[in-house]
Amino acid sequence: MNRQETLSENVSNALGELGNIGAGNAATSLSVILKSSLTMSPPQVAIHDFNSLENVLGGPDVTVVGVLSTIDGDMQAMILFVVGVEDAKNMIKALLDYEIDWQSEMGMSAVKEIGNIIIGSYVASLETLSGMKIRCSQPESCIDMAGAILSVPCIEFGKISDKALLINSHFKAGDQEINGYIMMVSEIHSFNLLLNKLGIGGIDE
Amino acid sequence: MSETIRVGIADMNICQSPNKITTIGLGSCIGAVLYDSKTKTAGLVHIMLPDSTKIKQNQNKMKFADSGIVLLIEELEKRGIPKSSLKAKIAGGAKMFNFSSSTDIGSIGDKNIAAVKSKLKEMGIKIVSEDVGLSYGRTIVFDPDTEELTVIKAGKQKNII
Repeated sequence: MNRQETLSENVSNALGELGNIGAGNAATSLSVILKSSLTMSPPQVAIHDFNSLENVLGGPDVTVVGVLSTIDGDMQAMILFVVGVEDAKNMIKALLDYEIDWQSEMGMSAVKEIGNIIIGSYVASLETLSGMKIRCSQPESCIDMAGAILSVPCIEFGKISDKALLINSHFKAGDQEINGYIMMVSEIHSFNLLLNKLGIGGIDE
Repeated sequence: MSETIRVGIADMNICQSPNKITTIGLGSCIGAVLYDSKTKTAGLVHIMLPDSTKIKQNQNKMKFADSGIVLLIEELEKRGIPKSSLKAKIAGGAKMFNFSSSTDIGSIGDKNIAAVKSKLKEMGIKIVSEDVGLSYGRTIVFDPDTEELTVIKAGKQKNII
């Protein structure tokens, strides 16, 4: 069941560039918060079925920390900011300059706020590039298995399709050893609306 | 040699002792195990959504509580196991993230639990034990020999039901 359909080069490049700019802006915000330089790998753009989607974070049973916002308006999608457990600890330490129990209310609130800023800059650049009107929900955070966290977008877009399109950007923050992902997940129809706005042909639905 | 058969999302499979059957990282989805003590056979379906009749894109029957459970019963019947000898254990249906219950994302776990329970009741299959709801993900492993369903949370705490 690991079918993964291919996208035309045009579409893949356009969405990749979108992800690059979105995640680039988000990463700039993050590097300011963490007072550290940041490197980013080129985003991966792919159509996934549910079962290949759960592997994008290193396997369904890996424990991760996720911050999720839903976006709606001219398009529907979910933006997820995901880091590993150790990465979350390092991130909180870099933000607060002192160590606290990372799972405390204060710790999770810090993670959520970082997620909020990152998701906010991602969505802002998406809006500027496409001219779409997009609303972004208050983010919520969750510490759990990657599979359980990714089941949330799977279920949401599973109502419409058996496939989801994912733009996944991976970053690393300098000496802090913070690895994380910023991903936008949606069904293909929403991405087609976005591609039309950019003047690029769509994807077969 | 026994092996553990893996069931994906919106997927199902059947195993017989000494083999075991598992699904990994259930969030708001539900893992429903139907098993028969006599033949030591168990089927597992990984359900994502409550109701196939409310969704246009419903070709994949395993995705939904109503059609998924019926399909699993049919597959077990094909192996000569009558519906009347089946028992059930279920897990999952968590509320992931803290979205308010008034939103669809916040309430989908509860809807899945209700739909699975109502379908099993309609089919006359007794739920022997369950670990459902709350707010954490679950990996489950069923052993048709001992009839134990092991529920593993993130951080590896185990609960055998």
